[in-house]
Amino acid sequence: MQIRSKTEAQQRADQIEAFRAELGIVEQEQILALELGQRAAVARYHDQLLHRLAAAFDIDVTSKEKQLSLGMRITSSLGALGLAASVFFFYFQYWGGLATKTQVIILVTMPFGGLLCTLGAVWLERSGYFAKLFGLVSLVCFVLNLAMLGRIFNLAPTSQALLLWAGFAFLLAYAADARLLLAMGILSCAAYLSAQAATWNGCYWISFGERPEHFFPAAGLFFLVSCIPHPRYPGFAALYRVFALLLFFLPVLVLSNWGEISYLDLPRDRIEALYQTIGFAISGIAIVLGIVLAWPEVVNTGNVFFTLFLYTKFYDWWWDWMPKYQFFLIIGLTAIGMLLLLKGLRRFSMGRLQEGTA
Amino acid sequence: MKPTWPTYLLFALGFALLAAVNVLVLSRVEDNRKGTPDGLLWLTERELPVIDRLEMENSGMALRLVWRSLGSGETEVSNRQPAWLTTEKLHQLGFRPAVGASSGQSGQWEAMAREVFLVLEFNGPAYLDAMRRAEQALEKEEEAIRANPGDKSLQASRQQTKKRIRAEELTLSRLFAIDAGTDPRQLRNRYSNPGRFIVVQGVIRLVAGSEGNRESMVGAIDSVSIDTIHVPLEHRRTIEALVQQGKGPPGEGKTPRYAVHLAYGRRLEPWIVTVRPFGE
Repeated sequence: MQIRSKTEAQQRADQIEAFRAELGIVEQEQILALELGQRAAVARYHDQLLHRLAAAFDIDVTSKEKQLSLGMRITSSLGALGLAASVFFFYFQYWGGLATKTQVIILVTMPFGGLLCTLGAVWLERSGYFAKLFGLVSLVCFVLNLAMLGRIFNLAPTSQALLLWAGFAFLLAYAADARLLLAMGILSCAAYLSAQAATWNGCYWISFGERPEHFFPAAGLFFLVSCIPHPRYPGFAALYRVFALLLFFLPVLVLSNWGEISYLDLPRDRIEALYQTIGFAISGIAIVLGIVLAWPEVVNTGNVFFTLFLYTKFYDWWWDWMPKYQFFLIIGLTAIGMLLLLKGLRRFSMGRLQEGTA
Repeated sequence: MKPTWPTYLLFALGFALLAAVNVLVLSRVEDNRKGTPDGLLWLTERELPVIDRLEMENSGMALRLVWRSLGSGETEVSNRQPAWLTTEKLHQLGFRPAVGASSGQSGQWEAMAREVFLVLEFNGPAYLDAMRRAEQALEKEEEAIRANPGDKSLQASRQQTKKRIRAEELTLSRLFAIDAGTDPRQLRNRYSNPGRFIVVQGVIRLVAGSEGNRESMVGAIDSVSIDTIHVPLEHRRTIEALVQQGKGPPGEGKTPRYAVHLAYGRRLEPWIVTVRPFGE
């Protein structure tokens, strides 16, 4: 079996750890007893494999190492955010005292320096913590680069900047295998696409948030991108799917309550009813699709929005006239009902799994 | 795991993107400032006051472009809803009622805000009109006082109007938004004096208002896209010295302390050419 990424290597190591623990129990219960030679061969094979994987991917072989790694991940994310903010404020603090030429030289060279550091970190450090950290810093430097050049030379704001930031964030995300940078790229690209949708409809691009339908093209695009296999980048497809669903469901939620801001040429209450129906239908489809295709993030997002659509409807119907204890009782009972429904779905999917195994 | 060639390719693309973007931005700046400026005005502290408070810990200096417009009321000035921004003008600027809807409610317009080009006039007929309106308001108040000599509120109002006339003469901006269009070249041809008119990018927004006796959406100037002018270090020192010499910001009866030669290039982006003490 060819292992191509750190996540796949970690999964294999976890599998080995679980196998060893289970083998211990099975032997203790005297259900199975491996011969000494067999046991030694399996142990040797696993030790060699773990050694190879640890050397190639810097994975955690024991649960203690895993806990330490989680701490390191959190620390590196915080460090990256801290360093990025520091760069930003440092420049703001001193740029006023610099001549225009110096300002431009610093602004232009900063993202190059950040990118070089990221490349160096990717080359020198296998775990990738420092690459992610420097990646975020270089993205902030690039944001500062364009924003401050715009300010120094009094340039009009343009949506193209969002596209350029998105492009750079995507390159860094794939180069350093960083999901935080991917999320930033997706957000920036979504803002650009929505601004373009606004411009195509004759609106001022900064006002793209005034019509929630502007976000739908971005939602569709990211869902399509999520269907492209990302074998070397675990978690990337799931992140695209989550953002696609957020970019779809949040505008639908807004439109199902404020129909007057829709592009549709229909009476307000009909627009709201239409988007409520769409919201319920698509969140239901998302739950089923997520279960069938084993996309847990799609199931969870669909769940959250199905509940939100349901509760906002309850609020519309009953909040004003119903005693509050009854209203919250209905909320609680609905949650229990949904829990039972999901349990049934879970049983159904487990049944299918067992049939498949048999 | 050592990086593979696709990773190196991604980094190469990253370097190329950074280089291309910076070359593009700087050549755009160069292009804007090439040749004869599209607009070249001597503005004063009245039109370009120093922005007192930039964002937290920002050490830069910037000037704010202060502009006004004349409303439809006879005494109205500083209104964001200029008299010339009629429904017909909104249609010319591309605002259209949504298909199947009559213009009226907010949701029945295709767009609530559009980017357009605005013409700002410096020290011209619009400013003289603003002065005339202030004087007319004073005349009306004096008439009212003659009819009701004991009314103290009228006297207080007259004092305010006198202050307004003084402010119009000495401190308020003489830059007025007088027209808008979708084609900057056309506007530049119509308003061809670069020493009096500048064409700038701006945003017009529909807001709730009244047209005649019925409530409807009316047009208002939302903003000028570039209303903050960065002050480079060499001019910053001059402005700081001049502001230090004059005591306090220009208030009632105080003359501006500096004049700024402001140029607008081919891409309608401004820059400071020079700064000098006011009145030199």
